[in-house]
Amino acid sequence: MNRISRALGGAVLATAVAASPLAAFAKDWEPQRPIEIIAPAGPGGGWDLLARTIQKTLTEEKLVSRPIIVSNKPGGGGATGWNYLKGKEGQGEFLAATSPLLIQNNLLGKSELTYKSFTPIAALMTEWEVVAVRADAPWKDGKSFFEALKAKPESMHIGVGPALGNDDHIQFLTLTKAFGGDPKAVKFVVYPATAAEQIPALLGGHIQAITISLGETLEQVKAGKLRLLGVSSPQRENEIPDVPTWKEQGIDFVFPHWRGLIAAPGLSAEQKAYWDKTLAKMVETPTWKKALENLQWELFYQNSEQHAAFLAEQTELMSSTLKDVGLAK
Amino acid sequence: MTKNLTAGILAVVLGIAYLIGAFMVPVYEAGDQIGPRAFPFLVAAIVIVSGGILVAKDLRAPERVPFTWGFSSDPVLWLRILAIMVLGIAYGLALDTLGYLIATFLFMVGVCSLINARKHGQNLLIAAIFSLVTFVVFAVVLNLSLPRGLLGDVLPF
Amino acid sequence: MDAILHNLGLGFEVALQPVNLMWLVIGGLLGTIIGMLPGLGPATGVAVLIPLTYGMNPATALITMASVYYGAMFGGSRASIMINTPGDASAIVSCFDGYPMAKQGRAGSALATSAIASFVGGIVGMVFLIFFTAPVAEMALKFGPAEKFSLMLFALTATITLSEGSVVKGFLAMGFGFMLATIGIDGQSGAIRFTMGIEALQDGIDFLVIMIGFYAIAEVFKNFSSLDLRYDVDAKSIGRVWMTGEDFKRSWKPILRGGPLGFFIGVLPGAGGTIATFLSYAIEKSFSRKPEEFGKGAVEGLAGPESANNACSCGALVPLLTLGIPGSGTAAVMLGALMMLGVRPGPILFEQHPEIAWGVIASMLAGNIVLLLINLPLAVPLVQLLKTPQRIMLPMIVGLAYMGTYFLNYANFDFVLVSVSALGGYMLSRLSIPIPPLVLALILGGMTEQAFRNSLTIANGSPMIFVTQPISLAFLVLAAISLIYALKRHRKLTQV
Repeated sequence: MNRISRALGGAVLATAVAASPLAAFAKDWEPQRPIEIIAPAGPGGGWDLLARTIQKTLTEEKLVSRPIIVSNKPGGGGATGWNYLKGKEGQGEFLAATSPLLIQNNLLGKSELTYKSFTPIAALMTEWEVVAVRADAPWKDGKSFFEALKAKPESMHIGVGPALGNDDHIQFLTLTKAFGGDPKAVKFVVYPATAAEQIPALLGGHIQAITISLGETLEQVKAGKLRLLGVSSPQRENEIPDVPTWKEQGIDFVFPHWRGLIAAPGLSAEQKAYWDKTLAKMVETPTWKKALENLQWELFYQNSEQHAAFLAEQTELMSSTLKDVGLAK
Repeated sequence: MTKNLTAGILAVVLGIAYLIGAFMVPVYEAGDQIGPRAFPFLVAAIVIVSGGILVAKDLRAPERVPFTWGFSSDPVLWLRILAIMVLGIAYGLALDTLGYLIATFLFMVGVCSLINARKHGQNLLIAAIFSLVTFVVFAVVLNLSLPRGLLGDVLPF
Repeated sequence: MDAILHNLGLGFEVALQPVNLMWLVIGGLLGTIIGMLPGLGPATGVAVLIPLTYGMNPATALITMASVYYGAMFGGSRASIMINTPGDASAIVSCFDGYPMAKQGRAGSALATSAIASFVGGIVGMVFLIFFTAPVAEMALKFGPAEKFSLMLFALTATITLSEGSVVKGFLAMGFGFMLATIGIDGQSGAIRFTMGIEALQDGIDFLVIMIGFYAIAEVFKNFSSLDLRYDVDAKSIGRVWMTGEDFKRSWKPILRGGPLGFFIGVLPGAGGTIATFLSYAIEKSFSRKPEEFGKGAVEGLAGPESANNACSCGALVPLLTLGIPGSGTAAVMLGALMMLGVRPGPILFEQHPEIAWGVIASMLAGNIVLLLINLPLAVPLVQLLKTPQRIMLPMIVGLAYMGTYFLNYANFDFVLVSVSALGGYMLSRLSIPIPPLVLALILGGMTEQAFRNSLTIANGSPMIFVTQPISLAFLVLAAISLIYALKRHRKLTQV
């Protein structure tokens, strides 16, 4: 039903465009075919949710004139989907979900791709990072925890997932260093299934702490099973008013776990302008705001220009942290 | 050659190749203490040792039943297998350019002619129905993304 | 107890609302159909039908998704029985005896047994879910990496010792499976292993691709040598769709054993349907008086694992409902969809939204009945398909197998993998190397290595952790017993 009406909408528009040949020469660019948003992962993950939320918002708020397809292209920690996008040079109808992993995979030597291989389009949302311990653990704040870690690193096992070198890992390394410990001495236990394994392992007492994004822990925190030692946001978060930020604890560390969109390389200024305009409108719509609230995400909007600058700055920061522990060369 | 001797030699060869591969795995400074090589070493040991036992037991066995793959006695079988593999790989390569409908049709025509030889009309019909029905079910009804390829702008759905 | 019954009553009030009942039936039917298609398992089924749930209230949405999930579980083993092509990992074991049964003209009986065993397993699982969720969730937390490693070692040993042929060949097969499992980026260190420079291998090999090659296509290869003999399945011998008295007598115990086993394994984080079905198969074979019939169409070998599989899917809901963490890929997809609707499952779901939590539980009980009613009549037309002549059936199987491969990852390189593994699977069977240990090792390889390394990391390098933890020790002892038992039996056989 939905599909048919979308297809009809497309057909009507196609006739409209064909009827006015001048439209093609107008300065503004418009998508000429169905828009494809690539989620470089399977269904159910963060990239997939982002792509589908964008699809839903743009369609329901009628911000685009073409149907939107979400295609899942998992593999290579995002590389499969991003490589597919890279092959669409100059075509503004293709977008892909992205996150700091694009930077990290390159720094870790897993992938040749960097943000420079694409046209950055926007950052759209963020989650914040936390360090969580069991509610009955002796540590009440970052300081007491990281001092215990410094004193006896072999008795403190830290759960991280899905792989070393990601945002969660980088947060913990940075904090360890900032609190005066040795990042190389930390014993990390890696859980490829992320929260699904990390939280039971922590609750079961097999590890002492996890470094993870805030949303994954909220239900356990509300149920009184986990305690958060600090959060990487600039101000305290509404849902957890008692948890101090790292900044309040004297560490100059604000660290978003953002997600956004990139487009194929070589987009024209008009194509970029189209997406800047469309996405700036999208993030103001009630559908988008409601979706973010449901998903417990926070708005983190940067347009294409701001986002490109941000990516350059983040690459610098992560590169130095990962070099410190010998994960990057 | 017997079955067990063939299996044992195959295992030892594969096990040694794998072991060499395991020595080539890079070890990073950071990460865990166990490292990415330990488990592969263990696996290589299991394969080489069980392969060795098979060989040793077979050489001492009183009764030895000879085994052949049948490359020369049944060449048609192996040619058919090879043809299916080549068709399958070509199908994968052609999928994005030709699109799902055309590539699947051609692939099915090939597979049908291999198995159901000389009935060309029937084979063309099966191939056409198969590609069309699966495309409608998956791409149209279930909304999965399938490459459209050459027919990209022609397809009504 | 009273509280549970009261809540269950509340749940049924929600589940039996006409709109929810309607979606239960629609979801179950769609799920069954999707589950039957090769390459589309429960996770994809739920994912592609998520758009249906936009605009529903959360309880209806969750009921719809759960019924799709369930339907796909019921449907998944259809393809295993009919064309030897498992739709997901937990349907692999259904190939072992289900497909031989179909080849012998007992497809109707196999389909009926599988539907009834799934139904009973599902009911047992639900009853356990209703009464034991809280204590079981608590117990599952005690299960650390050492326990997990030993459990997997036990499952592997049991599969090796109970498969056809010699124990040595079983170990060989396991080794081959582990070899394939270690290809790709190592999750813990990030090191790239055994990819031979092929970028498409970096993410590792999807075991379902290998499965499709090993089972579906290699089976077609096996039929090639008999193609020119004008051999077709005898249309009259296909049989009616019901269990015979003999089937029933042989399978009621396996079904009842499979349920609890499946449920408890389902609760363990990340263990899942594969271990449950393989272990159930191994257990039934060791209990059986006719172990030599296993793999050649023994109905127990189908009934036990089918029951375990559905009970396991109930168990997998325990961590989702109590901790808000998905116990399986499908549960992860459901979690994502629920979050988009503004509901977050977790420890406080039962307090804040009892109507959702209990409504779903009640609807799953009702869903089991609905699915049984869908699946038994559905078997009748399916069985008719087997009358298709082999010369037409075989190309269709090849076509469905390649197509199913593509749907797994949309990766063109998988066409190469599936072709090569078909050849490999065919050659292994010519050499009489047992396939099940290879398959299980391939599926569990990543988890086994991870549990091994995590255990040693937590114990700061000491392997003693595997024997000082009582649960882990118990599994190791079980593994040793099954190995000794198999060696003894083998010696007896060779002496005669």
